[in-house]
Amino acid sequence: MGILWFSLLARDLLQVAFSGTTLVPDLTLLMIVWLSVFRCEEPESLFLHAFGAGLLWDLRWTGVPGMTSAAYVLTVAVTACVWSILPPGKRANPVLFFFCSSTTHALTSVFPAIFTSKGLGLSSPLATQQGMAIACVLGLTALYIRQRRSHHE
Amino acid sequence: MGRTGTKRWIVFLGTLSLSLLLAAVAPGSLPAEKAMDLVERVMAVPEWPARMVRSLVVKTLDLVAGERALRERIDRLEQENLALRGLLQTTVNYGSWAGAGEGHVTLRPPTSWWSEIRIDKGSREGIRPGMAVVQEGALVGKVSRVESNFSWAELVTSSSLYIPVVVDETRDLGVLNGDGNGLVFLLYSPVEKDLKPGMSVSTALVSELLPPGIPIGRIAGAGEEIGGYRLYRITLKADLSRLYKVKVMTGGRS
Repeated sequence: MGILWFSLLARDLLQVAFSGTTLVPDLTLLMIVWLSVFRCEEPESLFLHAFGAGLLWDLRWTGVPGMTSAAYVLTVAVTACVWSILPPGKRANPVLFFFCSSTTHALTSVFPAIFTSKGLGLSSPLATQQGMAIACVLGLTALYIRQRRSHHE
Repeated sequence: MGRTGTKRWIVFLGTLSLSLLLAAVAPGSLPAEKAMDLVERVMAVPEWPARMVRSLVVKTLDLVAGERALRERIDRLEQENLALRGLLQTTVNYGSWAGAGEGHVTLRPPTSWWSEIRIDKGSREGIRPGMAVVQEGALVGKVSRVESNFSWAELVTSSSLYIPVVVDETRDLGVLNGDGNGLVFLLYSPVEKDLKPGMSVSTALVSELLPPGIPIGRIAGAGEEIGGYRLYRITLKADLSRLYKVKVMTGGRS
Protein backbone atom coordinates (compact mmCIF):
# COMPACT_ATOMS: atom_id res chain seq x y z
CA MET A 1 0.00 0.00 0.00
CA GLY A 2 3.08 2.17 0.30
CA ILE A 3 2.97 2.74 -3.45
CA LEU A 4 -0.36 4.57 -3.04
CA TRP A 5 1.15 7.07 -0.59
CA PHE A 6 4.24 7.38 -2.75
CA SER A 7 2.03 8.27 -5.73
CA LEU A 8 0.28 10.90 -3.58
CA LEU A 9 3.62 12.44 -2.66
CA ALA A 10 4.78 12.31 -6.29
CA ARG A 11 1.60 14.05 -7.44
CA ASP A 12 1.95 16.66 -4.70
CA LEU A 13 5.56 17.41 -5.66
CA LEU A 14 4.64 17.63 -9.35
CA GLN A 15 1.73 19.92 -8.53
CA VAL A 16 4.08 22.20 -6.58
CA ALA A 17 6.61 22.15 -9.42
CA PHE A 18 3.99 22.89 -12.10
CA SER A 19 1.89 25.21 -9.94
CA GLY A 20 0.44 28.03 -12.01
CA THR A 21 1.22 26.39 -15.34
CA THR A 22 -0.82 23.20 -15.58
CA LEU A 23 -2.65 20.52 -13.61
CA VAL A 24 -0.77 17.27 -13.14
CA PRO A 25 -2.51 13.94 -13.78
CA ASP A 26 -4.06 12.23 -10.79
CA LEU A 27 -1.37 9.61 -10.21
CA THR A 28 -3.00 8.59 -6.91
CA LEU A 29 -6.26 7.76 -8.66
CA LEU A 30 -4.45 5.69 -11.28
CA MET A 31 -2.66 3.83 -8.48
CA ILE A 32 -6.01 3.26 -6.75
CA VAL A 33 -7.39 1.74 -9.96
CA TRP A 34 -4.28 -0.44 -10.24
CA LEU A 35 -4.55 -1.66 -6.64
CA SER A 36 -8.33 -2.18 -6.90
CA VAL A 37 -7.81 -4.39 -9.94
CA PHE A 38 -5.29 -6.59 -8.16
CA ARG A 39 -7.15 -6.58 -4.84
CA CYS A 40 -10.67 -6.76 -6.18
CA GLU A 41 -11.48 -9.73 -3.92
CA GLU A 42 -10.44 -8.03 -0.68
CA PRO A 43 -10.45 -4.23 -1.02
CA GLU A 44 -11.28 -3.42 2.63
CA SER A 45 -7.90 -1.93 3.60
CA LEU A 46 -7.76 -0.10 0.27
CA PHE A 47 -10.94 1.82 1.17
CA LEU A 48 -9.23 3.19 4.28
CA HIS A 49 -6.02 4.12 2.49
CA ALA A 50 -7.94 5.72 -0.40
CA PHE A 51 -9.98 7.74 2.10
CA GLY A 52 -6.83 8.89 3.92
CA ALA A 53 -5.00 9.81 0.73
CA GLY A 54 -8.01 11.73 -0.60
CA LEU A 55 -8.47 13.61 2.65
CA LEU A 56 -4.81 14.62 2.74
CA TRP A 57 -5.06 15.90 -0.86
CA ASP A 58 -8.19 17.86 -0.01
CA LEU A 59 -6.55 19.47 3.01
CA ARG A 60 -3.50 20.41 0.95
CA TRP A 61 -5.04 21.51 -2.36
CA THR A 62 -8.80 21.56 -2.88
CA GLY A 63 -9.98 23.16 0.37
CA VAL A 64 -13.05 20.90 0.49
CA PRO A 65 -12.14 18.03 2.87
CA GLY A 66 -13.99 14.89 1.83
CA MET A 67 -14.46 15.67 -1.88
CA THR A 68 -11.45 13.78 -3.23
CA SER A 69 -11.69 11.07 -0.57
CA ALA A 70 -15.30 10.38 -1.62
CA ALA A 71 -14.19 10.12 -5.26
CA TYR A 72 -11.34 7.77 -4.33
CA VAL A 73 -13.56 5.53 -2.16
CA LEU A 74 -16.15 5.34 -4.97
CA THR A 75 -13.38 4.51 -7.45
CA VAL A 76 -12.20 1.60 -5.28
CA ALA A 77 -15.77 0.31 -4.90
CA VAL A 78 -16.70 0.55 -8.59
CA THR A 79 -13.39 -0.79 -9.94
CA ALA A 80 -13.22 -3.69 -7.47
CA CYS A 81 -16.87 -4.54 -8.14
CA VAL A 82 -16.52 -4.44 -11.93
CA TRP A 83 -13.28 -6.42 -11.85
CA SER A 84 -14.64 -9.11 -9.53
CA ILE A 85 -17.70 -9.56 -11.78
CA LEU A 86 -15.50 -10.04 -14.88
CA PRO A 87 -14.67 -13.65 -15.77
CA PRO A 88 -10.94 -14.42 -15.17
CA GLY A 89 -10.31 -14.63 -18.93
CA LYS A 90 -11.54 -11.06 -19.53
CA ARG A 91 -9.49 -9.63 -16.64
CA ALA A 92 -6.28 -10.22 -18.58
CA ASN A 93 -7.50 -7.94 -21.39
CA PRO A 94 -5.30 -4.80 -21.31
CA VAL A 95 -7.83 -2.82 -23.36
CA LEU A 96 -10.34 -3.18 -20.53
CA PHE A 97 -7.74 -1.96 -18.03
CA PHE A 98 -6.84 1.01 -20.24
CA PHE A 99 -10.50 1.89 -20.73
CA CYS A 100 -11.26 1.57 -17.02
CA SER A 101 -8.27 3.71 -15.93
CA SER A 102 -8.70 6.46 -18.50
CA THR A 103 -12.47 6.71 -18.01
CA THR A 104 -12.11 6.90 -14.23
CA HIS A 105 -9.46 9.58 -14.52
CA ALA A 106 -11.46 11.61 -17.04
CA LEU A 107 -14.65 11.42 -14.99
CA THR A 108 -13.07 12.38 -11.67
CA SER A 109 -11.20 15.30 -13.27
CA VAL A 110 -14.00 16.65 -15.44
CA PHE A 111 -16.78 16.54 -12.83
CA PRO A 112 -15.27 19.17 -10.50
CA ALA A 113 -14.50 21.35 -13.55
CA ILE A 114 -18.13 21.16 -14.69
CA PHE A 115 -19.23 21.83 -11.13
CA THR A 116 -17.19 25.02 -10.91
CA SER A 117 -17.70 25.95 -14.63
CA LYS A 118 -13.95 26.49 -14.84
CA GLY A 119 -11.13 24.94 -16.81
CA LEU A 120 -13.25 23.67 -19.69
CA GLY A 121 -11.96 23.92 -23.23
CA LEU A 122 -9.19 22.34 -25.26
CA SER A 123 -6.60 25.00 -24.47
CA SER A 124 -7.21 24.83 -20.74
CA PRO A 125 -4.96 23.12 -18.17
CA LEU A 126 -7.63 20.41 -17.95
CA ALA A 127 -6.94 19.27 -21.54
CA THR A 128 -3.19 19.22 -20.79
CA GLN A 129 -3.87 17.19 -17.67
CA GLN A 130 -5.95 14.67 -19.62
CA GLY A 131 -3.24 14.39 -22.28
CA MET A 132 -0.59 13.66 -19.67
CA ALA A 133 -2.95 11.24 -17.93
CA ILE A 134 -3.40 9.24 -21.16
CA ALA A 135 0.40 8.90 -21.38
CA CYS A 136 0.51 7.68 -17.77
CA VAL A 137 -2.36 5.23 -18.38
CA LEU A 138 -0.54 3.85 -21.44
CA GLY A 139 2.56 3.26 -19.29
CA LEU A 140 0.43 1.65 -16.59
CA THR A 141 -1.25 -0.59 -19.18
CA ALA A 142 2.16 -1.75 -20.38
CA LEU A 143 3.01 -2.61 -16.78
CA TYR A 144 -0.33 -4.40 -16.47
CA ILE A 145 0.41 -6.57 -19.53
CA ARG A 146 3.82 -7.42 -18.08
CA GLN A 147 2.34 -8.20 -14.67
CA ARG A 148 -0.34 -10.46 -16.14
CA ARG A 149 2.22 -12.23 -18.33
CA SER A 150 4.56 -12.91 -15.41
CA HIS A 151 1.54 -14.02 -13.37
CA HIS A 152 0.67 -16.64 -16.00
CA GLU A 153 4.28 -17.84 -16.27
CA MET B 1 -23.61 -12.42 1.74
CA GLY B 2 -20.65 -13.73 3.76
CA ARG B 3 -18.88 -12.10 6.67
CA THR B 4 -16.19 -10.70 4.37
CA GLY B 5 -18.86 -9.19 2.13
CA THR B 6 -20.55 -7.52 5.08
CA LYS B 7 -17.24 -6.12 6.34
CA ARG B 8 -16.53 -4.77 2.85
CA TRP B 9 -19.89 -2.96 2.74
CA ILE B 10 -19.37 -1.53 6.22
CA VAL B 11 -15.91 -0.18 5.36
CA PHE B 12 -17.11 1.20 2.01
CA LEU B 13 -20.24 2.88 3.36
CA GLY B 14 -18.36 4.13 6.44
CA THR B 15 -15.57 5.83 4.50
CA LEU B 16 -17.97 7.19 1.88
CA SER B 17 -20.38 8.63 4.46
CA LEU B 18 -17.51 10.16 6.41
CA SER B 19 -16.18 11.77 3.22
CA LEU B 20 -19.58 13.19 2.28
CA LEU B 21 -20.19 14.38 5.83
CA LEU B 22 -16.82 16.16 5.85
CA ALA B 23 -17.51 17.68 2.43
CA ALA B 24 -20.83 19.01 3.69
CA VAL B 25 -19.71 20.29 7.08
CA ALA B 26 -15.98 21.05 7.00
CA PRO B 27 -15.52 23.73 4.27
CA GLY B 28 -15.16 27.16 5.84
CA SER B 29 -15.07 25.83 9.41
CA LEU B 30 -12.29 26.81 11.78
CA PRO B 31 -11.05 23.23 12.49
CA ALA B 32 -10.83 22.57 8.73
CA GLU B 33 -8.83 25.75 8.19
CA LYS B 34 -6.52 24.82 11.08
CA ALA B 35 -6.08 21.34 9.58
CA MET B 36 -5.33 22.84 6.15
CA ASP B 37 -2.75 25.19 7.67
CA LEU B 38 -1.18 22.27 9.55
CA VAL B 39 -0.96 20.16 6.38
CA GLU B 40 0.57 23.15 4.56
CA ARG B 41 3.22 23.43 7.30
CA VAL B 42 3.98 19.70 7.36
CA MET B 43 4.07 19.33 3.57
CA ALA B 44 6.38 22.33 3.24
CA VAL B 45 9.26 20.02 4.26
CA PRO B 46 8.96 17.31 1.55
CA GLU B 47 7.85 19.92 -0.99
CA TRP B 48 10.98 21.99 -0.52
CA PRO B 49 12.94 20.30 -3.37
CA ALA B 50 10.03 20.83 -5.78
CA ARG B 51 9.81 24.49 -4.83
CA MET B 52 13.54 24.85 -5.36
CA VAL B 53 13.34 23.17 -8.78
CA ARG B 54 10.46 25.41 -9.81
CA SER B 55 12.22 28.50 -8.60
CA LEU B 56 15.44 27.45 -10.37
CA VAL B 57 13.64 26.78 -13.66
CA VAL B 58 11.76 30.07 -13.47
CA LYS B 59 14.95 32.01 -12.73
CA THR B 60 16.83 30.30 -15.56
CA LEU B 61 14.05 31.02 -18.03
CA ASP B 62 13.92 34.61 -16.87
CA LEU B 63 17.62 35.01 -17.37
CA VAL B 64 17.58 33.41 -20.83
CA ALA B 65 14.72 35.55 -22.05
CA GLY B 66 15.99 38.70 -20.43
CA GLU B 67 12.62 38.92 -18.76
CA ARG B 68 14.12 39.56 -15.37
CA ALA B 69 15.52 42.92 -16.37
CA LEU B 70 12.20 43.86 -17.92
CA ARG B 71 10.30 42.88 -14.78
CA GLU B 72 12.58 44.96 -12.58
CA ARG B 73 12.06 47.88 -14.91
CA ILE B 74 8.30 47.41 -14.80
CA ASP B 75 8.45 47.22 -11.00
CA ARG B 76 10.41 50.45 -10.85
CA LEU B 77 7.96 52.13 -13.20
CA GLU B 78 5.02 50.82 -11.18
CA GLN B 79 6.50 52.23 -7.98
CA GLU B 80 7.19 55.53 -9.68
CA ASN B 81 3.67 55.56 -11.03
CA LEU B 82 2.27 54.86 -7.58
CA ALA B 83 4.36 57.60 -6.02
CA LEU B 84 3.18 60.08 -8.68
CA ARG B 85 -0.44 59.07 -8.23
CA GLY B 86 -0.01 59.46 -4.49
CA LEU B 87 1.46 62.95 -4.94
CA LEU B 88 -1.46 63.94 -7.13
CA GLN B 89 -3.93 62.79 -4.53
CA THR B 90 -2.38 63.93 -1.29
CA THR B 91 0.46 65.97 0.11
CA VAL B 92 1.13 63.47 2.90
CA ASN B 93 4.56 61.90 2.53
CA TYR B 94 4.13 58.15 2.39
CA GLY B 95 7.78 57.40 2.01
CA SER B 96 8.84 54.61 -0.33
CA TRP B 97 6.75 51.58 -1.23
CA ALA B 98 9.96 49.86 -2.04
CA GLY B 99 9.07 46.29 -1.23
CA ALA B 100 6.86 44.15 -3.42
CA GLY B 101 7.19 40.51 -2.36
CA GLU B 102 6.01 38.10 -5.01
CA GLY B 103 4.06 35.13 -3.72
CA HIS B 104 2.23 32.14 -5.13
CA VAL B 105 -1.41 31.45 -4.36
CA THR B 106 -1.38 28.13 -2.51
CA LEU B 107 -5.06 27.82 -1.67
CA ARG B 108 -8.32 29.32 -2.85
CA PRO B 109 -11.17 27.53 -1.07
CA PRO B 110 -14.09 26.95 -3.50
CA THR B 111 -16.57 27.81 -0.76
CA SER B 112 -15.08 31.28 -0.41
CA TRP B 113 -13.82 31.54 -4.01
CA TRP B 114 -14.50 35.28 -4.31
CA SER B 115 -13.50 36.09 -0.73
CA GLU B 116 -10.01 34.91 0.14
CA ILE B 117 -6.76 33.36 -0.99
CA ARG B 118 -3.72 31.99 0.79
CA ILE B 119 -0.25 33.19 -0.25
CA ASP B 120 3.03 31.40 0.43
CA LYS B 121 4.63 34.47 2.00
CA GLY B 122 4.22 35.45 5.65
CA SER B 123 5.56 37.57 8.46
CA ARG B 124 9.08 36.27 7.78
CA GLU B 125 8.99 38.15 4.48
CA GLY B 126 7.76 41.31 6.20
CA ILE B 127 4.07 40.91 5.38
CA ARG B 128 1.60 42.52 7.75
CA PRO B 129 -2.22 42.65 7.87
CA GLY B 130 -3.68 45.44 5.78
CA MET B 131 -1.01 45.43 3.09
CA ALA B 132 -2.15 45.68 -0.50
CA VAL B 133 -2.08 42.57 -2.72
CA VAL B 134 -1.68 43.30 -6.42
CA GLN B 135 -1.58 41.36 -9.68
CA GLU B 136 0.42 43.06 -12.42
CA GLY B 137 -0.01 46.40 -10.69
CA ALA B 138 -3.78 46.11 -10.17
CA LEU B 139 -5.34 45.72 -6.73
CA VAL B 140 -6.54 42.21 -5.93
CA GLY B 141 -7.20 42.53 -2.20
CA LYS B 142 -5.77 43.19 1.22
CA VAL B 143 -3.80 40.95 3.59
CA SER B 144 -6.15 39.87 6.36
CA ARG B 145 -4.22 37.30 8.45
CA VAL B 146 -0.51 36.59 8.65
CA GLU B 147 1.37 33.52 9.87
CA SER B 148 5.12 33.04 9.87
CA ASN B 149 5.38 31.51 6.39
CA PHE B 150 2.03 32.16 4.77
CA SER B 151 -0.76 34.69 4.84
CA TRP B 152 -4.42 35.07 3.85
CA ALA B 153 -5.68 37.91 1.70
CA GLU B 154 -9.26 39.12 1.39
CA LEU B 155 -10.22 39.72 -2.23
CA VAL B 156 -11.82 42.91 -3.55
CA THR B 157 -14.82 40.78 -4.56
CA SER B 158 -15.44 39.86 -0.90
CA SER B 159 -18.66 41.25 0.52
CA SER B 160 -16.95 42.15 3.80
CA LEU B 161 -14.16 44.27 2.31
CA TYR B 162 -14.80 48.00 1.87
CA ILE B 163 -12.09 50.04 0.13
CA PRO B 164 -12.21 53.82 -0.21
CA VAL B 165 -11.55 54.66 -3.85
CA VAL B 166 -11.35 57.63 -6.17
CA VAL B 167 -12.59 58.02 -9.74
CA ASP B 168 -9.43 59.20 -11.49
CA GLU B 169 -11.11 61.43 -14.10
CA THR B 170 -13.42 63.33 -11.73
CA ARG B 171 -11.62 62.86 -8.36
CA ASP B 172 -14.95 61.75 -6.85
CA LEU B 173 -14.57 59.58 -3.80
CA GLY B 174 -16.55 56.43 -3.09
CA VAL B 175 -16.32 53.03 -1.50
CA LEU B 176 -15.67 49.79 -3.35
CA ASN B 177 -17.42 46.63 -2.21
CA GLY B 178 -17.90 43.17 -3.67
CA ASP B 179 -20.99 41.00 -3.56
CA GLY B 180 -19.12 37.80 -2.72
CA ASN B 181 -20.06 36.34 -6.10
CA GLY B 182 -17.47 37.95 -8.35
CA LEU B 183 -19.08 41.36 -8.86
CA VAL B 184 -17.73 44.65 -7.54
CA PHE B 185 -19.62 47.90 -7.04
CA LEU B 186 -18.81 51.53 -6.36
CA LEU B 187 -20.99 52.77 -3.50
CA TYR B 188 -21.95 56.20 -2.15
CA SER B 189 -21.69 58.14 -5.40
CA PRO B 190 -24.31 60.95 -5.41
CA VAL B 191 -26.88 60.68 -8.23
CA GLU B 192 -26.01 64.15 -9.56
CA LYS B 193 -22.49 62.96 -10.33
CA ASP B 194 -22.52 61.71 -13.89
CA LEU B 195 -19.87 59.01 -13.90
CA LYS B 196 -19.34 57.48 -17.35
CA PRO B 197 -18.51 53.90 -18.27
CA GLY B 198 -14.79 53.53 -18.89
CA MET B 199 -13.68 55.92 -16.15
CA SER B 200 -10.90 54.41 -14.10
CA VAL B 201 -11.02 53.76 -10.36
CA SER B 202 -8.04 53.55 -8.01
CA THR B 203 -7.42 53.41 -4.27
CA ALA B 204 -7.90 56.58 -2.28
CA LEU B 205 -5.94 57.58 0.78
CA VAL B 206 -6.98 54.86 3.22
CA SER B 207 -4.41 53.66 5.66
CA GLU B 208 -0.72 53.61 6.31
CA LEU B 209 -0.46 50.20 4.65
CA LEU B 210 -2.66 50.65 1.56
CA PRO B 211 -1.13 53.29 -0.68
CA PRO B 212 -3.28 55.60 -2.77
CA GLY B 213 -3.36 55.34 -6.54
CA ILE B 214 -3.32 51.57 -7.05
CA PRO B 215 -5.42 50.91 -10.17
CA ILE B 216 -8.50 48.78 -9.49
CA GLY B 217 -10.62 48.83 -12.63
CA ARG B 218 -13.08 50.78 -14.74
CA ILE B 219 -16.71 51.74 -14.40
CA ALA B 220 -18.77 49.27 -16.41
CA GLY B 221 -22.15 50.91 -16.03
CA ALA B 222 -24.58 52.64 -13.70
CA GLY B 223 -26.84 50.57 -11.52
CA GLU B 224 -29.78 51.25 -9.26
CA GLU B 225 -30.31 54.38 -7.17
CA ILE B 226 -30.50 53.92 -3.40
CA GLY B 227 -31.25 56.84 -1.06
CA GLY B 228 -29.82 59.55 -3.28
CA TYR B 229 -26.76 57.50 -4.22
CA ARG B 230 -26.15 55.58 -7.39
CA LEU B 231 -24.50 52.19 -7.57
CA TYR B 232 -21.87 51.65 -10.29
CA ARG B 233 -20.63 48.27 -11.42
CA ILE B 234 -16.84 48.04 -11.71
CA THR B 235 -14.88 45.84 -14.12
CA LEU B 236 -11.68 44.79 -12.37
CA LYS B 237 -8.32 45.30 -14.01
CA ALA B 238 -6.91 42.21 -12.27
CA ASP B 239 -7.95 38.83 -13.65
CA LEU B 240 -9.23 37.00 -10.57
CA SER B 241 -9.89 33.86 -12.61
CA ARG B 242 -6.16 33.52 -13.28
CA LEU B 243 -4.82 34.27 -9.87
CA TYR B 244 -1.63 32.23 -9.57
CA LYS B 245 0.99 34.81 -8.60
CA VAL B 246 0.49 38.05 -6.68
CA LYS B 247 2.63 40.75 -5.14
CA VAL B 248 2.25 42.06 -1.62
CA MET B 249 3.17 45.71 -1.27
CA THR B 250 5.41 45.72 1.76
CA GLY B 251 7.08 48.87 3.00
CA GLY B 252 5.32 52.18 3.57
CA ARG B 253 5.15 54.34 6.65
CA SER B 254 6.05 52.40 9.80
